Amino acid sequence: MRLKDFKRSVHRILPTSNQRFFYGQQCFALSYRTMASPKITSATHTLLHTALMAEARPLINYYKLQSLSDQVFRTWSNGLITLVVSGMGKVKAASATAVTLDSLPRNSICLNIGIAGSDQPIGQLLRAHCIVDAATKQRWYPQLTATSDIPTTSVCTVDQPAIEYDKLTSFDMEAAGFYQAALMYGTSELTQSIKVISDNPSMPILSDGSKLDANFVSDLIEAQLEPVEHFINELSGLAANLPAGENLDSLFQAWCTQYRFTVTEQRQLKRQLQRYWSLFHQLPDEDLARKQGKPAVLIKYLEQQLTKQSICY
Amino acid sequence: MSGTIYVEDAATDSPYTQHIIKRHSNAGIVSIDRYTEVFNPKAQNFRLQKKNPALILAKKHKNFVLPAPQDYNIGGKHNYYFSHMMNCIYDCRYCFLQGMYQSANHVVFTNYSDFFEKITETSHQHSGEPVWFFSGYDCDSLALEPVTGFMHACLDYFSGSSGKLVAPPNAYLEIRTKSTQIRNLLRHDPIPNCVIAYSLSPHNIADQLEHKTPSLEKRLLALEKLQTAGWKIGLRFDPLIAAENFEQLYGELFEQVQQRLDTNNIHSVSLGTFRLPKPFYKKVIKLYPDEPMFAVASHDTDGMIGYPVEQESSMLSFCANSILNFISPDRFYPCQDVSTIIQCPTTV
Ligand code: SF4
Repeated sequence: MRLKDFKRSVHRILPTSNQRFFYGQQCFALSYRTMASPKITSATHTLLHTALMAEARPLINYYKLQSLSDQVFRTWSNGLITLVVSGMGKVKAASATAVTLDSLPRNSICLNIGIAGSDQPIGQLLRAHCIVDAATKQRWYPQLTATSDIPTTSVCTVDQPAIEYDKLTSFDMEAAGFYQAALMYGTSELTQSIKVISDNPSMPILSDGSKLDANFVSDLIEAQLEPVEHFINELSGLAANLPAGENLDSLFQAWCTQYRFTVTEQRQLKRQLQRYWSLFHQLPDEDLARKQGKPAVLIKYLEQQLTKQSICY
Repeated sequence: MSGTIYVEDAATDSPYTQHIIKRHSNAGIVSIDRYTEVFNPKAQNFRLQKKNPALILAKKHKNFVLPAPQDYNIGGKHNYYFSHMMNCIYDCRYCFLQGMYQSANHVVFTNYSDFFEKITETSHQHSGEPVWFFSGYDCDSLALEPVTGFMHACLDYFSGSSGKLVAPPNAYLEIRTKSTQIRNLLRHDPIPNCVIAYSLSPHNIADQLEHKTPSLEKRLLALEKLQTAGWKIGLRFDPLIAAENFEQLYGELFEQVQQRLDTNNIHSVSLGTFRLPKPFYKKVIKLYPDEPMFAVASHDTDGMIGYPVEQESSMLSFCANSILNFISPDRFYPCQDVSTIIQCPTTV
């Protein structure tokens, strides 16, 4: 099994079972109740992205994440939360985000967490309401649909560490790369960036980066774990409003594997199964396809069943 | 509403912008160049945003009034619509806005007087003939009135009480709504050129599909008050929703209307079945794949998705014939062709 498929299957099984999964030499003891952190309030998958190991460490410990081997970027997971460390810069941030999201379910929660410079107190937690790529001037507005008490800021992603400070703007080096890549896999309401202020005019970053002491950075993130967790839970609550979809995947896959549906027929079948589910609150019997013999006949039969049905208000 | 207000730079100076910002003193204000930067990008989810939409205050630059679609009229020859707002605080499952827009955020264009200038200009283009202007096409006309104050300004314009800009005598206004925010209307003298039109659905359908809207009972009460106050009122039975108990539901609705309102004094009635352009429908079923009403309304007639033709005909026929029992044909304006399905076609 490829890692991608493995992760998908893990995701599908997760909410109901306590099992061990093997991928290569790795063993994942995954249980929704026991292994995943009890602090997570929903089954929506969450990707956390940081640039630095020092930013990641407090999150890895807090969410009890296990390291995954054979990854392009250093990655940890507990089955529901995956964390990737990209290294510094927007290109690495974009690559790590895309590579990791490629093996996670669509519309996962994606959160960039990292330090930034601003004319704000050291340790201040801020949420991006706008992300600007300083080099291209491209701008994004992460939708602030999930409620949060975290004050907002404009985040400007620069290619070199910034030594100018502004009250309304926080400077980082990754948010634009992360955001652009994450939006290819998800939706703006669930794709967010939060920053902890690590340097300001009274404590500026030095051009040799010597202020970026790893323990100092880890401490800054660690101090904000509670509001970060609260924010993730708000996002999870919001994500719970997305349609489930997964319930008909297995029957759809089973029929598509057993019978030859054209692309158009597959599209029709998928929508018919959705309609069937919404009207009958169950799926057709798996044996139905065999009884109908041909895909076209099955689709015609299902359409007849669906057309007959009406709703009583 | 969300704690965020996006404010377009060009809209900042509008007194309405300032008033709205003052009303929401706790909201975070985000300055933007153009509302489209927040409203139009892909990778947004309308369904999620409906849970907590943000407010966007913007300036409209063009297309203040647009020609209304062909069947969108109440007997006039010249029909236009205008939208001071995009999106709605209600959440009707069948609403076409969720198929049309990327975002569920509420955009309010605060340069109100520019709308009125264009209405004046358009009316002059058809001088001597009535010109209808429909409000409530891309939003609900009254639902956000306590925040926007748009209709208040619009009524002043149509009644000539603002003193500055006055609507020409051939300009007619339809305010279409499900809202019961009628305080401003009741304070105002009725305007002869203005119709307040309510969209009505049977109680059970409103309850299950028209989320966050005032109940049928409240809408009927608002209609009663407006009618008593002397306002012209209209009834819009659009969209009709297919149901196993369709005739019972709609039969009861028409009964209620007759019991509560003076049917001789209803300006106009229109009706139409649920229908959505195919691209909108495709988007909507991605948002709500498990919504039963979309599972039964999936028939494609020339790019419009709705109910199968025979079913549509029977729904329209039942309703048209019921309505014509209490409304004279000259006040009945179906949005779809019913000439072949009503029992006495010569009367329409
Ligand atoms: S009231 Fe009208 S505009 Fe508002 S959600 Fe319902 S159908 Fe849409």
